[in-house]
Amino acid sequence: MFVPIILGSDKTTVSIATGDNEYYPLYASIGNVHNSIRRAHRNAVVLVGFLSIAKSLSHLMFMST
Amino acid sequence: MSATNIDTLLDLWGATLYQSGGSPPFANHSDLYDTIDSTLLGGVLWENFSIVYQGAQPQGEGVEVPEWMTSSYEVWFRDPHVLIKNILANPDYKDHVDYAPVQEFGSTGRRQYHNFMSGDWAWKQAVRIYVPADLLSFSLIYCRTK
Repeated sequence: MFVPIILGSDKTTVSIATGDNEYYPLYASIGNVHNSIRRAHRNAVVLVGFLSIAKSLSHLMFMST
Repeated sequence: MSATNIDTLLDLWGATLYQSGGSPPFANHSDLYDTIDSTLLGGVLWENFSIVYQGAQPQGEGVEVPEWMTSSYEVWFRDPHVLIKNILANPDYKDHVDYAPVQEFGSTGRRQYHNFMSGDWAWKQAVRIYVPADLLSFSLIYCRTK
């Protein structure tokens, strides 16, 4: 069976009490699923992973060196 | 809610249940966090690892090493293979899935494009033979032979 994988990412910034955190989420879907389903938010696009970048933490490490 | 507040809330919760011999749903904030971390979302467990830059760093007196070269970055992920299998296995999509590339033509004979699998790219992948030069395409395609 032929299953084309579609990947997507977009930087997301989340603010919490200790400062801004940046996340790079990686989404995946497959080409087999029809567009109508993919756009209907019925779990046809799933979150595969994310890279979290704690800006405040990096900044502190920079200051202390 | 902060860890301290969670602990306070759980203490108060426990106090109200003391007489009836009950206990709050979580012992403390660590217990709550552990429960969240081990929760299966969509049946696939989250995993993580840390990455640190290991290449050459600028040398010399007064030369600043960029912070990203020394910082550790966390990567959280779920097994993509299992996630993709879950999408394929979802019965909600049964009437909205193309199992093979399709070419559709209207009554006038004109090609009609609807979804990903009706496109030229998908069609070409299915009718070509892969050679090593196609490795890049390979990395974006999940192929399973039954």
